[in-house]
Amino acid sequence: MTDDRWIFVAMLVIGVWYLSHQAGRLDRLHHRIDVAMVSLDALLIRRAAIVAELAAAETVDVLTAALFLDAAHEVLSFEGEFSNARIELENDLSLVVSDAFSTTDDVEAINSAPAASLLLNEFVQVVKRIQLSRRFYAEAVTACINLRRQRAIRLFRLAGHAPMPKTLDFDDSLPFGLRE
Amino acid sequence: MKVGIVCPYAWDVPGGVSAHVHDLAIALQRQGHTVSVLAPASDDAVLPEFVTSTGTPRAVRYNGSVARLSFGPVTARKVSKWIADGDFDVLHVHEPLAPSLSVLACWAARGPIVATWHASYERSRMLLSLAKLAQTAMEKVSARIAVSEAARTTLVEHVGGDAVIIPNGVDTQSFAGAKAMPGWPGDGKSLVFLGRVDEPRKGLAILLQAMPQILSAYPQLRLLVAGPGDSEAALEDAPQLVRDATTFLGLIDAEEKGNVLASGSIYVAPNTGGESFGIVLLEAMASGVPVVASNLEAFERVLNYGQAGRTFANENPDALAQVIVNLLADDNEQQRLVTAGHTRAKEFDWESVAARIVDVYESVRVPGMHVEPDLAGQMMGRFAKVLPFELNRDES
Repeated sequence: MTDDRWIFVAMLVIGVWYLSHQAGRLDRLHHRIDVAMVSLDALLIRRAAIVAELAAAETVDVLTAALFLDAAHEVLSFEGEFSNARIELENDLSLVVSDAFSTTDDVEAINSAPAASLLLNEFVQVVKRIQLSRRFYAEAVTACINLRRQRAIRLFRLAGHAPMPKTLDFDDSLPFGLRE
Repeated sequence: MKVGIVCPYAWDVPGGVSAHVHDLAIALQRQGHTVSVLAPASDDAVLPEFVTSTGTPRAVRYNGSVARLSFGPVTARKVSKWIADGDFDVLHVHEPLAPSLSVLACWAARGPIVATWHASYERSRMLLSLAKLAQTAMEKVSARIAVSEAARTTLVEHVGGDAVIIPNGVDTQSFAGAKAMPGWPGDGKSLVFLGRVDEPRKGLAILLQAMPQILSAYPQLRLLVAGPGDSEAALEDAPQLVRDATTFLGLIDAEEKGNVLASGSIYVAPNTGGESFGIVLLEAMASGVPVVASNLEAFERVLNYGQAGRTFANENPDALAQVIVNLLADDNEQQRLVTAGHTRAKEFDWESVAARIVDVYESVRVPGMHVEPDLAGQMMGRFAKVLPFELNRDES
């Protein structure tokens, strides 16, 4: 073989190695996004479960309890992919709780039952974790989108048929009455 | 929860990162979690039950510091085995930028990984290329924590992305009972310095240059120096007067730290740079000793901008001497600093810091899912393991 052919073979080897390296990076990022999604989903389910339990507390009035139960039930009975429909349900739940705990007086009234007070502490904790989880999910998504914009990755379709990941935008703020 | 923590620095050599990992492990266990720590340690080191050693680390010089690290094929096998045996819910690696145990662990694992950034560096081409090399490890990290704003900036500039800031913790309880060693601080009062004596950035030289001025105001004053390194070399340029006033304790155990700190009328931190937090300052405050420190941004923050401790112009022995002489003369101010220091230290107690770290664990882990060995990652790891270098800097 002539020198030219060797150079061609060497470039081909380097090219293939580079593509497999980039494919590996994509695979790791997709895996990270998957794990982050499951983790966030589990925390949101936990939040809905706490709200459902709060509805049973004796210091929660009947109307609020009904709203709590309804919003929590919608989330808990939701089936399928984490879609816009699910995000709306999470927003609804956030809204119902924000209304119920809009002032520290609201919180104190409900806190007077020890069981409700424990649940409220758990609620605050799980919301903090949801905020972190959503942030880490967004970081993984951003890293993945940046990588998938690269020319080589688009040209050789390294991402296969995996849909482009999206950040999730929903209201995960703590109700005013529960902020320290 | 089962947590696997990786400490890249030698377990049996005192340092900021290994102390952080030790205290975090204890605090997590106190809250009912199961913890296993992987760290390099010399073969004859006595290790707590929860620490797995990867063997004797090698000393590497970089960026004006000495680092003790482990990196290589044998170490990589030990890391993989530890991950396979551990069955962890979360893997938590520390200081993951440079080639070290932490990077090996990222390569060898798949699942929820948390990384904590400790040190702060100026943006440099050297570190950017290191970051590029560790990219495949970084991309597997689900959540990043920085111990300070400076450490977060380092991360953003070299790797991109963002981090949650959770400061270092201090075990206020274990320092609250600190008692001065017999004979200290003595009638003539005393100063305490902690840290490597041959590490220029720890600033012992600045303090030694300030000593003649301090001694002229307080001739009976003594200086207590605790930390590893060659004491003769450190005193080379010092006048006889300063030599006579100085006592070297050498390397001290973690248990002795509080008592050594409490042996001073003032704790002095003349560090000239490279500090991103300043945990010793909090330990001194928890031990009930007033603090005088250089005006590094990290120190100013911990001291709450003069509220909980005095600062002096960095690398200026005259300014340091002035601040110390003034403070020694003012008993009321000393008492005020002791009280303010106690309150400040409480805000950084490990119990609250560990709870915030658990929130991060919970935000990335999946119940029922464990950290698994990653075979693809090991391929990449194997490639990098043949690289003939080991680089890093000492923890600050």
